[in-house]
Amino acid sequence: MHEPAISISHLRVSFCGRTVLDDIRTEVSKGRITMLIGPSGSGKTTLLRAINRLNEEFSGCSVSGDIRVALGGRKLDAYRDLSMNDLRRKVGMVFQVPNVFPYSIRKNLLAPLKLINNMSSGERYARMKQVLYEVELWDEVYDRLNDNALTLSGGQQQRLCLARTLALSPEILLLDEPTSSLDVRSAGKIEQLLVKLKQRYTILAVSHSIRQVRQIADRVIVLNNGRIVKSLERCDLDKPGLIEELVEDVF
Amino acid sequence: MSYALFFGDTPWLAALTGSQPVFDGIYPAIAGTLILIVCSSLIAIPLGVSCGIYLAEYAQGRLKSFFSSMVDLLSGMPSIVMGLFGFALILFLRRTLFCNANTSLLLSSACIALLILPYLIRTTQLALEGLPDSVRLVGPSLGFTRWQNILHVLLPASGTAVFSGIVLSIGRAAEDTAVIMLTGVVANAGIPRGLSDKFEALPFTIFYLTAEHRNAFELQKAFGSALILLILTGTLFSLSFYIQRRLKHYWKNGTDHA
Repeated sequence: MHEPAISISHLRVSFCGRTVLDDIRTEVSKGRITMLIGPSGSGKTTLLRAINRLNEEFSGCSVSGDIRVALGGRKLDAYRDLSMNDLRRKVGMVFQVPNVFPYSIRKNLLAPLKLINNMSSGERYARMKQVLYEVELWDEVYDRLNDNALTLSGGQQQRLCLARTLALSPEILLLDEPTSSLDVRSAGKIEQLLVKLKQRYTILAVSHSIRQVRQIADRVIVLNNGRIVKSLERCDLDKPGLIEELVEDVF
Repeated sequence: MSYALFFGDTPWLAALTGSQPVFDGIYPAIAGTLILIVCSSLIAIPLGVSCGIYLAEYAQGRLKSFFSSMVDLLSGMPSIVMGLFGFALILFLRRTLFCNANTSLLLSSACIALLILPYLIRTTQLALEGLPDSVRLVGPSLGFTRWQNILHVLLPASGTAVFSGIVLSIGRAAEDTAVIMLTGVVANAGIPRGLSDKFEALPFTIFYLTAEHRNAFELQKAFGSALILLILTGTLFSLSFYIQRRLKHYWKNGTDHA
């Protein structure tokens, strides 16, 4: 059994008195892709945002329960043991719609590094190159680093967002439907990347596509009405009929 | 439009260096208006933009609605009331702390600043609040502090709107007559030597030339001044658009070319 990188127990999240997530208990293992699925409004995004405490950016949010994350070999309480910003630097997030900064490609990656890590400019450049290689974007953009990031295609923008997150050397990646706004080809590219990245990062992703779940998920958590209703392992997913049942349940 | 419109009988070099006073021309009025705009912008822009940031990003609940309605109240204030306020303030100061206090450039700038403040606050606040969550959450998700997020993500993203507020308020500062009439403008004051001096201003010059002209030439001079005021504000607008473009360029590419 893999070491759990995220352990959640008795998690309850509500906005302005309306409960969005209730009594969530689960564990997310390292080195695998765990996917969250469920009908819209079932709390998938909220569950992701509970882990990097992004829900707290909205007023009227209250969170109770316990979330522990394994960072740097230690198990830490996400809400008590470290500051919100330190947590968010170690738990990276990629959003549904690519949200690059309206700057040059170079500045998209260098600006966060400059603000957050005290790296020399040489180190920053090396890091930028490394993450662009990691998301297989370097060959496509090395000669146009000063172009505005908005001139990239949707898929490239999303990979740039992933690179921006990876540049801060997180240990856990939270992905909120990272391929939903992309065409099949770009989505496929991102899926390949995720399979490659799962060796080194803990990946928890929300997905909307049963095809994606079938292809790359190692574990599936099904949410409905703010509760976990089912949890399936890879071996379950390969059983005949089970996927069809999931489609019935969720989509 | 002629040489005499600007400098009257004074040689232009002597007028520009201030070695000879200008009596018939509108040059002192142009200078006065420019100085007034600069001074009031220096007071109002930092204050207004930071108030806007505070209202959009920090204030919450009842405090926020209280301050918001105060800003609305201020923006609905007729400029003559603002002028009267400045005048009353000086009367009050003369009776209490400073018996030498008098209507001056500083007082006018402060009152004009108060007049344009609500525009600045409102545009900044609306620009920031109008940003979608997808923009708003990137910074925090990368571990930016709240201030880093405002400075490096939210303000650049709403820069154009904030800037249009600034341009609007510069226009307002340039054209207002009622406020300065009660707080320090006089005809034929010459170029102000300091913040405590009286000054001339274009809108006031236009006003008194039109209202009290004694011959056709003076009326023509008034229309000439109006044209100059238009050109002046036009130039200021283009200048601010130029600055905006430079800033945008800076935000996009940064200085970090490592």
